[in-house]
Amino acid sequence: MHIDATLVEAAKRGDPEAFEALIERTNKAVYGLVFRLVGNHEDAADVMQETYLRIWRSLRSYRGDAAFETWAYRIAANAAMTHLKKRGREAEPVDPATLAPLERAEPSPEEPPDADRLEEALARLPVAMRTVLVMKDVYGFSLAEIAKQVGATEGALKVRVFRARRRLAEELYGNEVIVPMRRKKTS
Amino acid sequence: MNCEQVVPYVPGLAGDELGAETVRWVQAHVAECDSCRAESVRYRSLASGLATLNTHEIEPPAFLAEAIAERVRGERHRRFLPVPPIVSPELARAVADNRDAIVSAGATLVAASAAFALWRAARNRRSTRIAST
Repeated sequence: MHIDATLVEAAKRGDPEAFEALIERTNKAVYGLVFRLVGNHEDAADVMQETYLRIWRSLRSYRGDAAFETWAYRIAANAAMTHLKKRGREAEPVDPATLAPLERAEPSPEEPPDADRLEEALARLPVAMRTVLVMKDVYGFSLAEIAKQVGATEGALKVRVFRARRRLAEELYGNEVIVPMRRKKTS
Repeated sequence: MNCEQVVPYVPGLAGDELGAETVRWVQAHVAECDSCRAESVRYRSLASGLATLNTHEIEPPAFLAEAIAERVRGERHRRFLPVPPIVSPELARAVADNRDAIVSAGATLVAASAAFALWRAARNRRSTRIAST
């Protein structure tokens, strides 16, 4: 999505039609981020409404330092994280152990798994892992940005990203392909 | 370095999170170890799949764009006074996010003040009655 700066300027000046055009042009892309973060259409629709209210309220403070879509993504991620915090454990996906096993990806190492299978594997991750992976690896947020969104240190976040990638790989390829990490013994 | 030490860092090779020194010793091991190399290649292909996932559209419900526009229209009409420019966007957002809590606190304060005023009026009336008798 590329948004014309003149459209953003018109919306900033309070032109309602320009703002509605912004909604029309950006909502599909923003919805993709929100849906991947919250994990279902019902919550995603609520978060989208909150996101655009926040965009409308703070549009005057948008200075154009980042692309409008990047700025909108940041606001959407923030609204989604607020929503997930409110939902607490209810936001967790169904325990993957109770679901039919995901069809394993062909062990062809150079080929990325197809998008549908990736989406399905992402949806099975616990919220804390899914959210950092979606922000970092799918939408390219910086670690500093994600740390601010989730309220964690960058060091802790790196560990969470690595674990999330490992868990995703296990979902897709199984333990026999991905070397499992040895757990520390607890006495 | 053995696999056990390197394995936790292999997913980091697919991103930009590892420091240069860590990348150096992880890559040195990966170059010599078939299973870690295979795993590293797999993480890279996983990373490239994830990086293009945002072009994979997820169709929003058909009503959504109109519902959002309607909600914003409602908000625009409701807020007939613009936010003064001295209010920072962060403060405005915090107020907007906690509107329900602020309204509840305000209502509680008003109710408490009213109860206090009634109690005080009653006490004054009683004092006046006692003084007059």
